[in-house]
Amino acid sequence: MTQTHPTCIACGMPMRRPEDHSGGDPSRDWCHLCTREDGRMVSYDEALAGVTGFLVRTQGLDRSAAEGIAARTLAGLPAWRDREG
Amino acid sequence: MRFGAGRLMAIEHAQRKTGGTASSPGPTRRERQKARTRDSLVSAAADLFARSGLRDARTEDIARAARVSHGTVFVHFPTKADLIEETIGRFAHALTGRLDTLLRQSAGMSEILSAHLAAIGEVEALYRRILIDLPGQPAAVRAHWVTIQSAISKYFAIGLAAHPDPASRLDPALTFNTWLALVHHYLSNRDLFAPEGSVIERHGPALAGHFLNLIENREHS
Repeated sequence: MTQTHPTCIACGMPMRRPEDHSGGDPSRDWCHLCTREDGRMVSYDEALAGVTGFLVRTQGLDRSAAEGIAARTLAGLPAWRDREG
Repeated sequence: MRFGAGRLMAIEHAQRKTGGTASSPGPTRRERQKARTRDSLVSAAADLFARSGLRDARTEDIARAARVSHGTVFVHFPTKADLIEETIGRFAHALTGRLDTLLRQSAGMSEILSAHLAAIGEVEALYRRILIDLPGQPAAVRAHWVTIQSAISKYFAIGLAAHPDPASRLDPALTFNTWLALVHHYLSNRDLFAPEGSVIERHGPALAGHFLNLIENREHS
C-alpha cells in the first residue's frame, strides 16, 4: 500500500505522474516547479527562494525561520548535497 | 487499514533501497547485515518512541527490542539524538509519501481533510508522540516535521482556493494553521478526548465536519 515515490532532486517534492517531472519527461529527476523556461533545472538560490516562499505562503512561517528550514531540506537533496558553502 | 509506524517505515525504506548496478557491485554480506541491524534499530526506536515518547524511550529498551547489545546502538548512532533524527526522518519520508498518495486522489476540501486524517490515523501513536515532544528537538527534527506539514499544506492551499466563496477568500496559511491547531489539540490531549483509543477514529469526522462549516460560514446542521 505504501508506494515508492521518486522525489525531485532539487526541492524534494514527490513525483508520481509523468507531468510532475520537468517537461513531463519521467527521465528528468527534477520537478516541473524546479524548471526554468528553457527546461534547465533551477539554481540553488532559486530553489531556496521557491521552498522558502512556499513555507511562508502555505504555513505562515516567519521568513527567516522558513529559509532555515528550506536550507536544511535542500542540503539533504541530491542536487545540492555536495554543494560547498 | 491501520498499520504501525514501524511497518510503514520498513516498507518505505525497503522500497527506497537500490541494489548494485551493472557497473558497481552490490553491497557485501557484511554491509547488508549492517544495514539490516540499522533498520532493526530504527524500527524498534519507532515502536518505542510511539509508546513512550522521544524523550522517555530508553536506548537499552530499543536495543532489547532490536535484539542487539546496548553498545551496538551507539556503533550505528553515536547519540540518542542521531537515532531520533534518523527515525523521524524516515517516518517523515514515509508519511509524506502516504499523504501524497491519498491527497492526490482527493477532490475538494472535504476529501482533503479526510485524507489528511486517514494518513495520520494510520500512524497516530508515533505522530502524536512527535507532536508532543517536538519543542526542544534539534532543528533537523523540526525540519522533518515541517516537511510532513508541507505535504498537506500544498494540497490544502489548492483545495481552499478552488472552494466556493467565502472559503476561497480566506488566508491559506492562517486557515491551514487553524485546521492543524484543531487536530493537534485533540491529538496532544488524547487523555481528555479519547483515553481508550484513537483520537482520529473517534473525533476525526466531527472535526472535519466542523471545520468545513467554519470555512463555509455555515451553521451546524
